[in-house]
Amino acid sequence: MKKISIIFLMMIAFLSACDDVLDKKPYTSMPEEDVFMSAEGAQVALEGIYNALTGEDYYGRLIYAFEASKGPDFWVEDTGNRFERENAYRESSTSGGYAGDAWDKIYDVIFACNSLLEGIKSIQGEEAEVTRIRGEATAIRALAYFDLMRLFAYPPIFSVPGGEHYAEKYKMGVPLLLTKQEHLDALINPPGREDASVCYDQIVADFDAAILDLQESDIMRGKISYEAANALLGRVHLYLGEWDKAIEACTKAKDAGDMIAYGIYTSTYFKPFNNENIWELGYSETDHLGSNSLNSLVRNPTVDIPGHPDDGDVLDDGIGYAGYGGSKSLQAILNAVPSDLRSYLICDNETGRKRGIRKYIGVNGAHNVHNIPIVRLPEVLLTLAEAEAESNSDLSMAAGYLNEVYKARTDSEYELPATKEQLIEDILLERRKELVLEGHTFWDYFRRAIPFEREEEGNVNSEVAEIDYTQPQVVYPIPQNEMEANKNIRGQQNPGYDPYTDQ
Amino acid sequence: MKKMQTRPCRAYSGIGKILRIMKITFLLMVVCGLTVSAASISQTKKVTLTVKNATLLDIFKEIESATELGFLYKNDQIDQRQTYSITAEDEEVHNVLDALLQDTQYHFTIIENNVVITAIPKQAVAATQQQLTINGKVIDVNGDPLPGVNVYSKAQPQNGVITGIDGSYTITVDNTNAILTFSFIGFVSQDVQVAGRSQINITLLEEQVDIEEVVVTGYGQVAKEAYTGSASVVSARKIEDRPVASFQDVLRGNSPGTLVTGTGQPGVMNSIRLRGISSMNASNAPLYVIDGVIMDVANMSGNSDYATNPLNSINPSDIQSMTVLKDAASASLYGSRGANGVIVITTKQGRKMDKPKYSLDVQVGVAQIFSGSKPDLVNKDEFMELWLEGEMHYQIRRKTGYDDFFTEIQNIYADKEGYEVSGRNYHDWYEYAQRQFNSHFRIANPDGGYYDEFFVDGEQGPDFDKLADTNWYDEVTQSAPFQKYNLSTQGGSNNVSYYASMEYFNQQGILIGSALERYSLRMNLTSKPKGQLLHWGINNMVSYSDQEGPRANAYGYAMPQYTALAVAPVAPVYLEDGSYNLSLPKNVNGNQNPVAVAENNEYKRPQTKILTTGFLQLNLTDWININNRTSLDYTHARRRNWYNKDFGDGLKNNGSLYERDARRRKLMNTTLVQFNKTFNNDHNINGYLGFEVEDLNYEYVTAYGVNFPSNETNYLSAAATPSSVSGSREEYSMTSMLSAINYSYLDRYYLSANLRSDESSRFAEDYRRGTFWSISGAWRISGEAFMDNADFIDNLKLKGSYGTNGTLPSAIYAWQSLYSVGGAYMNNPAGSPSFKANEELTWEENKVFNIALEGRLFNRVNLGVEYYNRKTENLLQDLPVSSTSGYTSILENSAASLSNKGLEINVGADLLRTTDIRWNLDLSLATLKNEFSGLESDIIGSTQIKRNGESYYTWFMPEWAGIDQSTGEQQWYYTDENGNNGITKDFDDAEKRVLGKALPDISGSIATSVSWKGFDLSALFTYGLGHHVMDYTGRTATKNDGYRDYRGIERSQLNRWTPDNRTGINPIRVNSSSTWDRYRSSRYLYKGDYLKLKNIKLQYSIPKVLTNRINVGAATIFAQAENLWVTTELDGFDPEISLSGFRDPDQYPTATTYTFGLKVNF
Repeated sequence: MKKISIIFLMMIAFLSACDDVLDKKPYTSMPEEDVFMSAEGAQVALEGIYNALTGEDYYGRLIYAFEASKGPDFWVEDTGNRFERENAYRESSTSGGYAGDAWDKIYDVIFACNSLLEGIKSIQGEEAEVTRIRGEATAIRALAYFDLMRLFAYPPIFSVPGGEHYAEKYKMGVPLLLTKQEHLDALINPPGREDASVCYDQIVADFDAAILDLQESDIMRGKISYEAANALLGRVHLYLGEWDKAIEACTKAKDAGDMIAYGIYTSTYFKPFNNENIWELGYSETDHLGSNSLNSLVRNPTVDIPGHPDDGDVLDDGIGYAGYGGSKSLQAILNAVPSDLRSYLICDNETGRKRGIRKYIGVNGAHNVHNIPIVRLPEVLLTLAEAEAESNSDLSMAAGYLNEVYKARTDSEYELPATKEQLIEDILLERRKELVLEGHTFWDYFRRAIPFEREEEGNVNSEVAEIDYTQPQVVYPIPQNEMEANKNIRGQQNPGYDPYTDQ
Repeated sequence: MKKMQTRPCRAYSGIGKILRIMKITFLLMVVCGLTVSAASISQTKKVTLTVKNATLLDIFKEIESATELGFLYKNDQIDQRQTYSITAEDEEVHNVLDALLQDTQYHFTIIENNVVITAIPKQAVAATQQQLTINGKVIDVNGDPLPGVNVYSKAQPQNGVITGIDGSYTITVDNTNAILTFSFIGFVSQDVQVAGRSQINITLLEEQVDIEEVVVTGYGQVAKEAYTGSASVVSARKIEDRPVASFQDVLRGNSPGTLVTGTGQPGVMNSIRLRGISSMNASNAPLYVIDGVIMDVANMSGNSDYATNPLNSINPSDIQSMTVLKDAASASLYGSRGANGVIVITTKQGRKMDKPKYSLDVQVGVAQIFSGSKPDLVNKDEFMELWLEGEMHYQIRRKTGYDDFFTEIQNIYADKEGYEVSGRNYHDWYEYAQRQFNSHFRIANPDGGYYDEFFVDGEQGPDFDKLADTNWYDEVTQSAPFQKYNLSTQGGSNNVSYYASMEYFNQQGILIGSALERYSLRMNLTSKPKGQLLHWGINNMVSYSDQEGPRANAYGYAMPQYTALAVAPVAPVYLEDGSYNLSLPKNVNGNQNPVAVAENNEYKRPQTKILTTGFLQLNLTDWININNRTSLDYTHARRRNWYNKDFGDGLKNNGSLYERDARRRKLMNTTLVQFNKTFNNDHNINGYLGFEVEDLNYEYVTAYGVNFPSNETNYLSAAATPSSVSGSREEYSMTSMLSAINYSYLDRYYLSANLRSDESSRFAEDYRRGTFWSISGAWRISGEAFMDNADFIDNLKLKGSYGTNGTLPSAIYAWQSLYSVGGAYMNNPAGSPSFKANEELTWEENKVFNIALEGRLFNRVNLGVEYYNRKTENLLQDLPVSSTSGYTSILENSAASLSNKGLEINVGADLLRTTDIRWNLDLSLATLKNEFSGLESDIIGSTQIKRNGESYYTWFMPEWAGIDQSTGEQQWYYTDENGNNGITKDFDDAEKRVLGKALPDISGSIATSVSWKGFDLSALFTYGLGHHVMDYTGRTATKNDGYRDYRGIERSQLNRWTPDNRTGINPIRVNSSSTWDRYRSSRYLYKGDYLKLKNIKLQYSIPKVLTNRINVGAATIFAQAENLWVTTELDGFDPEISLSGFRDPDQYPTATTYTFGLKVNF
């Protein structure tokens, strides 16, 4: 019996003795400390940030769709369409259109950036890699704050003291979180909004730091580079009206590419990684937004393959539903210069009422699969032109930059106008043509406080046919969910929106 | 050999090696299985022993330890005061016993290795009357002799003998008219009139071992009379014959305080709530324990709309008993997982018997949609009447605008010829509506065109007869066959007993394309339980269950039951050429003809489950043992969703197929040191101390492909476009220390306590341990001396318990800060921060108080009254946080708590009990008060609210004020500045109010059965009272006054207001009329009170005379019907479908099942 007992007890001991039985780790996620053991792991986290940028609630659709719905170039079909509230300037404190999605998503990106910036501090060695990763993450954080400012705050001309239209009520920026700890603290005591001037200072400081970190790195497809960071910094200075700094930054960016030659523009402009694109987000056959893509929103179900015999024809199973229509005025300006190749970008649909936009058409008929450019050479050149025109009494410098774009598209020379005002108007017009659906036109007018008119169609009725920035919906409201969870932001709703009430 | 009798003394000898103080229950179990083969061998066993001044019991123990013999006797029959001395030197046992018992009033019989001791009744006074000697033989139903049977004269019990090894006996009685009683433990006693006969042969029938006398806790079992906790036991008899796929259905109406809700989909998991609802974010489902194994019941399909159900892999026929553990004393044994109660299932075990017993069980039946859950839809003519009227109103309103509509419509009705709106009179507008009808309801014709001339110039047009008169709900439902074959065998020898079964189960669903098919095999083996050093057992089940059926719990267009309500009756199912009609009016639901969907799409969830558990027990002494149990719970589950390429969802992708292959493996090991010791006959202590570890891992792969060449080649390799793949793995584990102790004194006073400490991998290292405990006690009042005079009380027991248990969070890794990986950016692996570590995450704690009184009166009435109060604190809540943190919500233990209080009353009575007829009635009633407290703010849903002081599912919406009888508009209430009830027609001004709740105040059942001769008729009713239900089906599909004008309409809508019918109760119909919100009011809220006839059954046991003739042991046939009738305010709704109180268009309807069964033992 003793023998049996011993064997039995040993068996139990064997079966029960599992020291690590309670230490369980997931297999499709990684504990944070494991991610930041090496630069390779940090790179995975960085790719995650890029991936977050590609979502439909950020650069995949929202940023550009918001701008298009607010600006003069598009209208949104009557009902059941995306961004119709934005298009009609109908956001309210409680129904903010896509405001909540944008707010959540962009702070999500900022949190990812700050987590990464915290995490990489512990990586030993691999300095070059770590510096580059830090630079990319810092630059993306700057861009994210800049986008938050564009969506939820007034541009510097309204919000920064000294601006031409500055008023106390416009001065709010967004909550500024710069370390991981601040995010953790925000779970308990979330921050309120900083002043816009503080936010812009931070954005500039971040780009400056990123540019230092990135100067030794090579350009990589789909990634933010030294040149791209400079180009974006130039954009920020342009918003701030800091012309010299804009010129300085854009000068460093302008050699990143070349304009597409006139002869091959229509067969090239939509192609991924063409020479004009300084930074674009990459999408693939297996990894695209499908019916949530920007293409689906704005393109008719037509064949859009330049040079294809059926180009422009409607097919039964064509992709795209075109909840957006291009406005007549957009069609007019794109056709204003007879030789302008950009007239290809807009086409009538079968009923003739609506116009489809062919900015994002994918390659070879895979229309939903297209990259999203974040910054392109023409923007840099036109920023240079604008900054030169504003700061340089010799207008030919500015006209030269403008002409680089103008000539590449029209195969003709831009003629220097008599006045600086006319030149700046021409530059803005060129931006509107060249950068349509790239998140500029509405904000180009807004940052300079220039009123604009809109075609009365779809959700654009007479009340919102002219925008002069006096109505609340020119920026998004702080989302209701945020107000509910964040006591410190409740009293800081944007001007014109109803103040927070507990429902 | 010397024998000496001494004076009685209170000597207590040392503990024998194998002590056999046997409870009567154990004796029952062993003796009834005795066999007589090779019986005489042991009679020649020899023994050497010397005992002085020992009681008989002690001497028996000595002999037991010296030989292989076991003694069987009734404790209370042996005189414990008399002592004896005896010495024997290598003498044969029977000689020793002969000598020992010579002058005592005891008699012994040696049967194989057992010595049966019986008391000899005192010698009768010498008979003066006519004496008669009777002999005969006692056999069992198998014709085998029964040794050891007591045979005695009923009038003079002291005159008795015991049957011998061959079952024979000889007895002398002093009266030719005496009555002989044949009694044997485990068998039904029989009285026989001698009537002058000198030979009487008797067949004794086995007693049904009544399982209800035992409460199984999963870590052991306790006699019901000694149990201090709260439990209801459902026996095999209540489970076996029910035509159900899963044992869960049987709990409805058979276990007080248990809410069971579920649909009629074959194999679907019901939702079971024991004593209310206690959690918002963790599971509210009870724990299932089968043969000591905590069962893994996770849905493995990756989608709750197509859930797999591990419970449907269990063959209900294998179940011996289900014990529902409800209070802390019971459920705290399971610590961190016991908060929602525990359902403990034991499967059938073998028994030592002479010949194996076989049992064949055949059930066949047919199911139809339960009339109570079927919507009453309008036909073609009624539909057109309603549609045209609504369309006319709609078109007129387009001209008048909303404000003028209500006066203009009255004008145009008042003067149908003369009054015009926009140049059209009433008839012109009606004709206009008919033209609209023509274009909206066109039907494809074989030429590629359409039939659309249903009306021409106000008259029926040439195509009018092309309109169909379809009841789409009838089209997707069917009469569904049901069959079940179960063959089992039970038996055992001296060393091993076994139970084995195999089953085939096939239940077609009442919706086309749904079914459950199951093959199940079981083998249970156990060694001889007592008297051996090692005791072992193994239970092994393998089953394959293939569940098929539509998605549930979502408004997918490809759901036949949903789509069937969404298509107008005028649309035909098939076109003239016999093909499916795939152009439905207004392309409703993506033209997914529900019949085509049901017949051609596939939703399969085949599942293979292996459940094996084995134990090895080392009996260290007769009162202490070590038991080690190991179990494997392995499930392989697949899901196949195939969308036919010809229509609907499949058409978009040219056929699409989703496949998922998942496996879960759970290992569990429990080691218990168990003890059970009685001191001085009055004190018993038993309990255990142990260690448990369990480990689970889960893996799956999924693949999705589209673009198929044909509908026949619907496997992934045939897909031209592989669309996506994914797969993952997860793991969790728990280790526990467990202990329990039970003390009883004089079988009157009971005390129990348990303590369990769990460590779960779901928490951060420093927060892993949770300790849970309970104490409980019981007092059997009827055992007290002062109750001796209360003859009418057969049993009366008071018991109470208090304790804690917990609920684990559903999230497995929530305590770790994680980067989720698997994404990619431009083909580079990408990760993003997904979880914020909440290291302080811990259990929800459940505190439970229970007090109960149970008794039996007049030997015919059973009564149970129980009160409980349980409160769950630290509720896990997904609390919204500022998005600036990078998160939108965080799972936390909040300050909120939920309490459940209730009273459970049970009354059962034998109303009639004669030799021929038995009639009994059982009533049960359970109240429930479920209440939130500590919520920081209200949590408001579209029609329900979570608010402090209110129940979990509390209705919250505008209160409907009926229609304005002068205009037909809807109205709602609001409270004006003075606090008075105002009425408004503007929905935005309506006030949301708390309007009752979905959980019944009172629920319960009424069961009755009558038996007469071999017939047995029984019925089960269930009921619920004091709650409200929401007609979501009506609101969204069938009762919304034309808002969704292409859908089916319920007939109750015919009574609508028009200027010609101002007493109509439904608002004026206006097609496509209004905004959605207007239909979200108490207009669709109904009283939930219901009474339902759940089951009715007629059974006939075929007389022995007949069964013996064909060599069959026992046979019964039965017919029964399930879900027959219900009465409740809301028509077309089975109140037992939904826990949260919704009648929902996506619900699978309930089935009425008619079954015929045959059960044969041989």
